[in-house]
Amino acid sequence: MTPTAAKTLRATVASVPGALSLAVFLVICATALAAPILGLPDPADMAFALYQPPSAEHWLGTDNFGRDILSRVVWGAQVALTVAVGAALLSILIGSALGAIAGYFGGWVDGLLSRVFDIFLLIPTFFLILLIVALFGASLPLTIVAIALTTWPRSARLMRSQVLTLKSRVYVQAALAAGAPHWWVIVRHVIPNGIAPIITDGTILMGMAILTEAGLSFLGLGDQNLVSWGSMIFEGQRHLRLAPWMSIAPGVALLLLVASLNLLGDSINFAMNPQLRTRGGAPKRRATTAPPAGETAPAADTPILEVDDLRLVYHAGARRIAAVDGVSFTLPRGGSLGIVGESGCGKSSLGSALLQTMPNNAELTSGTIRFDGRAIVLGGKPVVENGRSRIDALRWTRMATIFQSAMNALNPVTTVRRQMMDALRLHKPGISREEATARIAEVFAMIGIPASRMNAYPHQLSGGMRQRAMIALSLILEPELVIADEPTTALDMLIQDQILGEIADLRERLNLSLILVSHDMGAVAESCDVVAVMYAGRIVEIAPTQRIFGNPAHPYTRTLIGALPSLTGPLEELESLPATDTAAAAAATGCRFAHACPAATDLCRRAAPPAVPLGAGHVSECHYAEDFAAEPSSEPHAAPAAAKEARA
Amino acid sequence: MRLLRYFLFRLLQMFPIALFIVVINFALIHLAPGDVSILLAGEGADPEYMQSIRESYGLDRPLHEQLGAYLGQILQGDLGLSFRTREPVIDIIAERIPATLLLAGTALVLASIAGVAIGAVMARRPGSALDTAVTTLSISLFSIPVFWLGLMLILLFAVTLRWLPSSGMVSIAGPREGLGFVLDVVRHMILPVTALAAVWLGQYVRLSRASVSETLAEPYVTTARAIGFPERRVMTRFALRNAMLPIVTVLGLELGLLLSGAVLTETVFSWPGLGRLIYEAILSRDTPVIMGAFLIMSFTVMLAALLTDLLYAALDPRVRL
Amino acid sequence: MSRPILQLDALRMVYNADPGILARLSGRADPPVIAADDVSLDLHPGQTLAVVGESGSGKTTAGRIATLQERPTAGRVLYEGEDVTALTGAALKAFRAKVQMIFQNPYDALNPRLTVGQSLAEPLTLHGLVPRAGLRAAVIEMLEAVELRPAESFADAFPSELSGGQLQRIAIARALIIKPRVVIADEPVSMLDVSIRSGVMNLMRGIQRDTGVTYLYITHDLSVARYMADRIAVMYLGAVLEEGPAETLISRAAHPYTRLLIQAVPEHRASATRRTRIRLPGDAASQAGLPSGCRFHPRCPLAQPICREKAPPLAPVGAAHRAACHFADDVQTHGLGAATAATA
Repeated sequence: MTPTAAKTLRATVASVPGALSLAVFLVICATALAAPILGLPDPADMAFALYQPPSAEHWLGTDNFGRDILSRVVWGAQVALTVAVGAALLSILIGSALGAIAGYFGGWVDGLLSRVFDIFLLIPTFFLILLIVALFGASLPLTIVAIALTTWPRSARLMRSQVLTLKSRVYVQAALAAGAPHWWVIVRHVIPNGIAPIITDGTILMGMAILTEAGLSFLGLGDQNLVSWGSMIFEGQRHLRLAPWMSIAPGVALLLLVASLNLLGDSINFAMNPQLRTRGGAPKRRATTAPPAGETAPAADTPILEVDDLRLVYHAGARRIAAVDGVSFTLPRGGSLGIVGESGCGKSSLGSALLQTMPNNAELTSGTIRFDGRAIVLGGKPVVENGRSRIDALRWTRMATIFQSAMNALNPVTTVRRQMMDALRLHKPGISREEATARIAEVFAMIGIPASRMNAYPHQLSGGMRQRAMIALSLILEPELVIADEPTTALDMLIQDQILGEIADLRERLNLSLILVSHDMGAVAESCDVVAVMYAGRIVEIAPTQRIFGNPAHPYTRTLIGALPSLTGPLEELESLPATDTAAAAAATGCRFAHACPAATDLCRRAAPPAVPLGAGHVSECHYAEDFAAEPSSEPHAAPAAAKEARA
Repeated sequence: MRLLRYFLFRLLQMFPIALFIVVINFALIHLAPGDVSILLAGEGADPEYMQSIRESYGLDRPLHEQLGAYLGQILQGDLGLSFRTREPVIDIIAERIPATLLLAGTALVLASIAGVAIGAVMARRPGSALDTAVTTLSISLFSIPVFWLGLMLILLFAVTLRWLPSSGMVSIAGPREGLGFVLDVVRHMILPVTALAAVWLGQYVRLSRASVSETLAEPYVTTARAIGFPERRVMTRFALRNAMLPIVTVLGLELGLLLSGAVLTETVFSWPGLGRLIYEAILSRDTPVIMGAFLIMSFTVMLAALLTDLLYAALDPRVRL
Repeated sequence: MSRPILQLDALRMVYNADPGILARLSGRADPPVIAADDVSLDLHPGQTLAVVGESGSGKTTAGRIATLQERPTAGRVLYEGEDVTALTGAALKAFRAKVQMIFQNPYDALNPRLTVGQSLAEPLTLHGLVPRAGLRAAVIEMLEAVELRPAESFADAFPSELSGGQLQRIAIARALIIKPRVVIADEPVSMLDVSIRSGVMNLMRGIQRDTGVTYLYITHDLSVARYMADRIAVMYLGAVLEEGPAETLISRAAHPYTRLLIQAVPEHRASATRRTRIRLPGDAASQAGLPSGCRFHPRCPLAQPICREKAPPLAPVGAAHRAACHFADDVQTHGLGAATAATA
């Protein structure tokens, strides 16, 4: 068993509904299989008194012919399971074969087959089965075939979409490019990776088949020679007043079996995609705190933003991941700070903490955030004043954000203009339509969106225009501080450059304070006065932009700068880190970067480095910061002399 | 204008499907054991009528001509005569449709509104104990055989408690007009609507829970919260509006499934609709009626799918018209 | 210059050329997309040719055609002078053993149900190059070659246990394990973290030094292209706009688009001062609905009336250096300041 399958099984059994439904299902299966050896009376034997209510002798009573109902329910389980397994298997076999062919080969084959699947979806299947059984006469095999004939398109569509996704997966492409024949790719790569959802859906199919058979039997179209729960209810209906137990028992059995199958399918699905259970949701109610005493009114030189010892933890199951691990910085009014780091370093989490838009599984465990001298977060808790959270009072009017990937950050079913209008009216309820429209036009002109695109939906705009619309939305209420989280990722080079230019221009023109989060040193270089480099949840170096490029005092910063090829400088071998995982680094004692650092010494592995002030706002968390700072950045490979000595 | 063109295009696409359904019907008649003319006319029909059936369906001619004749009959709206009552099948069905619409429509509206609301509320607290309980409960709900649920409701509320009538649409000696008539019908509707709506409710709760939780995880919802929209606005304007799209699709696609539930419910409650008609036809082996009902049901489902398509196109600006 | 090992000759690739009757009737036909328009590129043995372009430039299509994953609408692929465009069956398999591919997304590069060792052994098994007993040793050797040590434990790992950089090294190993002569690499580092990128690029350069393999390196980043390649071809909307030796192309760029790309590269090593930007008139273009005349003219700061009317040919502007611009000479000497020169 591969690790995924084992994990899925474990996760399924770990959930209450999963364990319960699996147990019920297994008990029913076992009972059905053991029917002949349970010592029950013959289900067809009319040996007992008629209409006996449940008693010690007949646990579920007897029916209108004096047959033992318990025995009939147990034997009925065999029929139900036969129908379920037979119809589901047949349906999956036909469906996945045709679905796989349609998805894998595409073109006109797919066109034709998909049409057929769609047509079947539109046929009211129950009536078709009913018609088939009515015309051909009732028998169990026919019922099974009829059910499978009407449900296979469901499996086919599922398989087709699986295969379509898998076909574009890199490992499938790579196998084909390596010269693998189609059958090899299908057997080795496509089916093993695509079958899981189809098996899961099989449980749902089984439930559907059982209910369909029961429905047919209830309409009198069941196989007369077999004991089926549906036909038991059919018979029980006529004696409902006299012997209600005749209909209750088989119904409960049906409900238990079908519900256990459906719940099982649902649990497996959740086990395979755990995010389905917990994603989304309303913002969690968090503990709040009162404003601190003795706050002074902001002065002209009060920094727009002060962050002190901020810590943000993600809860993933039982694990706690410290994404932001003690970050402090100060942003003067009108200043701009670039936060640079690689994936998983905590830069986006930091950005989301500033506006309090983090997901529910994230929690601030400590730290203070002050906006214009007033605390909005204190000890990790949002500050509430007069029943309203202070951050809510700042939102968009004084502090706005430009999100990553504007494709999804704008509401897809509303025009861009309407979204701006809504934001304006929310915060300026009295604004007239004309004023609002004028303001929107003004912002659009400022950011370079042609007026003709105002009424476009987000999907009608190109990537660059969408990102511009996002920027326009963030500026609509003239905020003082804008936090831009990777505003140009996924855009083409020229557009990226243009938009970074727009942001830098706007900052100057509007005297904005700006925090620019990016993975790209180059992107922040131009628009930011100060650059902070984050690694494993901490700011490891912060300095005025010129200094951080001229005299980087942290080996990680040096790697980031040295790892980028130059277009104009001399061609030299690039710096690189060993192929290790950065995420694991945070857990280590000592310096977080020691495991990958080319200049690491025993001291680095033993003790966490202090924040070393280097003057002019330059701080580096490295034991050898002063030595690094003393050496110009043109020799990226060289470790400072002191570190070399320590290693020797 | 564009919507009209889209509608016509979709309508055009429906023709091959309709044809396909008619062909299935035709094929089944010919594959089924027994004489085709008996299946079409019903057992024990008089020789004269049998002869007229043979002629109008061209049963002596080659198969493809028979198909042509069969199509011609259906195009004229001629679904044959019920062998039991000797009335045109199309009239019998038309007479029963309002009752089914009343029952299924009421249940659908109740179940979808309540289901979407409950699902949306659950999506706000994903993974909570309440959410797990409601999910489990709604799965159990749609695992109940609807006819059995109907019986149990009758047992409890009609037989034991005697609060509500157990069958039919109107009381035998009840009022035939005015408010009294309406109230009488409503009293008769309560149990079957409850049975049907309960089973569908499970579906909609799950559907809406999944759809809303997905949209709540979308970045544009985060944007809305960052802008400062109150949660209520975020929920209606951003989450529900977008979540409706998949819900509408499934609603249209699963109408066929819903109708099968209606048939079974009508049977239990002797509700004088299409379902009851089909049940009676099965009992008396009235094949023309069964086939006619299948055709009408199929066309209804197709029409519903078409309407959902249009609704979807109106809701989602991304649909290319 | 040596004889090219792989040549793309006047490739043309059109998607949605025939939308079908139903789609046309309903007016829902997707417009045809010209992904490659008369693209000719030569790969010389032991060298690297970088193809640079933004999304929609046709650079990936060129790569997919070079590996015969897709067949061109028109034009030829030549391997050692022989036309291989229509190869099938055993001959195609033999071609694949010589021309391999590295893909962009490392996180998706390996079948999650197979161990790294099983994935690496697959190409060897397919081509029957190593007997069963020798597979393990060959895999270990290859893992060592891409600097994944201890190789034994990497061979037994599942992809989900590895980081992006490690996965991409394995993907490189899988492409190289059957010792191909040409490797097409489609943005192999663009999804990796900056600090990991350079390691992968250095690895690829080292392997080229050691084995003399030829690369077609597809990237959107001109500075990466310069680091990796001997020659660079700049593509835009399905056509090559400029091609030449890496250093020459960057220092003496003859196409305004190349000049703009050079300007847009954030040069952090240079002082972090503000640059003057030219605000481009147009927005990113799409392949559907190609403009008339020069395909770059709607965004070109130097566009003249002739650019709207006449498409410039890809003409020589220096030694082994070609550019498709009516004002190539002006641009080469005056840069984007050529606007004044052209209008004067």
